Amino acid sequence: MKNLFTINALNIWYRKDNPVIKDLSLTLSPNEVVGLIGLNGAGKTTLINTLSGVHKDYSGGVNFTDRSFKLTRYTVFSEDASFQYYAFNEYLFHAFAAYGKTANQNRVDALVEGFGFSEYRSFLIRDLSTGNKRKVFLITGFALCLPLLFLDEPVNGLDFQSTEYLYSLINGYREYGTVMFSSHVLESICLTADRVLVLEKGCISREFTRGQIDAVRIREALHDTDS
Amino acid sequence: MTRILNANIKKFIGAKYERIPKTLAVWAILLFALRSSEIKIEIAPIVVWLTTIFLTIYGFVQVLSSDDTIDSLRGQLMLPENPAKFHTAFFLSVALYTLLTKSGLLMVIYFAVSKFQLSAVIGFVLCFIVSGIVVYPLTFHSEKRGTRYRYIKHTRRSFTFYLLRYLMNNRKYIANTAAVWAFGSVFAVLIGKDAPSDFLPVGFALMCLNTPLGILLSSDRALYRQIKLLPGQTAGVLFPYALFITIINMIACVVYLTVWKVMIGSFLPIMILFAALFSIVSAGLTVVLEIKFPLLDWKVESDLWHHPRKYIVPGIMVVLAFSITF
Repeated sequence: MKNLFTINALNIWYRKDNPVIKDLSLTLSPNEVVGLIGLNGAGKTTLINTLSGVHKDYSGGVNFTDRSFKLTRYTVFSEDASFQYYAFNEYLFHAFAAYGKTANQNRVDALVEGFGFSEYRSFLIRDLSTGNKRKVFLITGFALCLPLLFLDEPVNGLDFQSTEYLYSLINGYREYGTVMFSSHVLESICLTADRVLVLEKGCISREFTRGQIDAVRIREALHDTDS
Repeated sequence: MTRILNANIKKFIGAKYERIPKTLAVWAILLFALRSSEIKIEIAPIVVWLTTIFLTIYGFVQVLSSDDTIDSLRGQLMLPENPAKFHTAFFLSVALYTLLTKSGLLMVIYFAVSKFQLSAVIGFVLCFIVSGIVVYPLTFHSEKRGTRYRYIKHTRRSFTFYLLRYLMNNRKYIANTAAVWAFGSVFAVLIGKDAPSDFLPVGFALMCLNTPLGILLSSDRALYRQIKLLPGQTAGVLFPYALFITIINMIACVVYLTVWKVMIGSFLPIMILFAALFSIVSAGLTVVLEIKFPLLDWKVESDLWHHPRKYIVPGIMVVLAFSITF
C-alpha cells in the first residue's frame, strides 16, 4: 500500500542546541488511526504543531507550509481560542472556504447532533464553555473529511457522551483518511488506534501494532520511559 | 508580602526584571536627546498633574482589565493569602509597571524640556499615588464578564465583518480609534494655522497610526496559529484585514480633511488621492508586519500597545509625507 506521508530525520527545536525532536522518522498509511503517547514534555504537541505548519524551527527536508500539503490536513489543537468573534456556523464556512470545499450539510448536522452542540451553533465562540469551544474545531475537522486529521489531546474538556461519540468518529474516519492523535488517556488509545507510537526524549522509542495494543503493555512502556 | 510582590513583578517586568534597565536606558536616551535639541516648553504644573492622573488611570485600567491579568489572578487568589497583603503587593506591582511604561515617561519629558518646579514634581507623585489608589479597587476583578450568549443568525461572513465585531466588542479599541480621530482634528487646526496645505500628508501619516488594529494577530496568538494552519488565508484573512484597516484609515483621513476644510480652508483636490494612497499603503505595510514579524512573545498584553514596532509604519509614512511635501 502506498504511504500517505513519510518523513525522515526530522529535527525540531526551540533552541537549536537542544532539539525537542531528534532524527525522527514517521510513516503514515492511508486510512489508519495512529495514537501518539509520551510523558509530559516528550514533544507530542511540538510534533503536531510542526506537522501542522505552525512551528517553524525544524529541519528534515519536508515543507509543512506548502499549500498542496496544507490542503490535505487539518489540526484540532489542544487549546484553541481563535476566531472568537465568529459563531460556529461562520467558522465552519470560513474553514471550508479555506480548503475550497463545500460542507456536506447532512454530515455537519449529524456531527452537531452527536456532540450535543445543536443549541450552541449560532453563538459567538467567545461565549462558549471550554468543552463547547473544543467541539467547534472537532466538528470542523471531522466534517472536512481530509486525508489527514491531527488531534492534540482531543478528549480534554469533553463530557462523557461526547468522548464516547469522539471514539466512534475516530474509528469511522478510516473511511475518509488517517487520524493521528496524541493522548494521555489510555482508553482513547486502546479503543481506537491501529498503531501506537511512544515518544521518548524526542524519538519514537517503541511502536505497538493492532494485536499488541492493550492498556497493560502501554502502561509498562510508559513506566519504562519514566525510569 | 515580598513573595507575592516578587511573583507579580516578575510577570509584569520579566523574570530577571529586565524591563527596568531597558526602560531606564530609553529614558536616559530620551532625556539626553531632548536636552541636546534644546527644545524648551513651559509646562504648567497643572498640566503635569492632569496628564499624570490620565496616564495613571489609563495604565491601571489597561493592566487590570486585560484577560491575561485576570487569568493570572485565579491561581493566586485560590491560595490562602492574607487579602490585605495580597492587594498591597499586587497594587505595588501594577503601580511599578504603570510608572515604567506610562507615567514615568511624562516626568522624563518634563525634566528634559521644561523649567524645574518642585510643585510639579510633588504633584506628580501625589497624583500618581492617589489616582492609583482610587482606580485600583474600582477596576480590580478576578473573573471575566459572565457569559452572555449572543445569537448570530448569519452562516457566512467575510473576515472584514469579523473585525468589525471584534472592534465593537472591545471598548478600549473603539476609544483608541476615536482618540486618533480627535487627535487628527486638533492636529489639523494647529498645523493649519501656520503651514500651507502641502503639509496635509504629514497628518495623513499620523492618522494611520491605529495601535489595536495594527497588533490584531500578535495579540491573538490562537488566531495567528489558525491563519498559519489553514490554507488560502491570504484571500480569506489578510486581504480583508488590509481592507478593514484601509477603511478605518480613510475615515480618519476624512475626519482630518473635513476639520481642515471647516477650520482652515480649501486644499488641493489631489490631497484626497494622497489620503487614499496613505490609507492603502499603511494598511498593507501593517498587515505585512503582522504576518511576517508578529510579536508573539509578550508577557502582558499591554506590552504590545507600546512596542516600538508600532512606530515603523507611521515612520515610513511620515518620510513619504515629507518627500511629497518638499
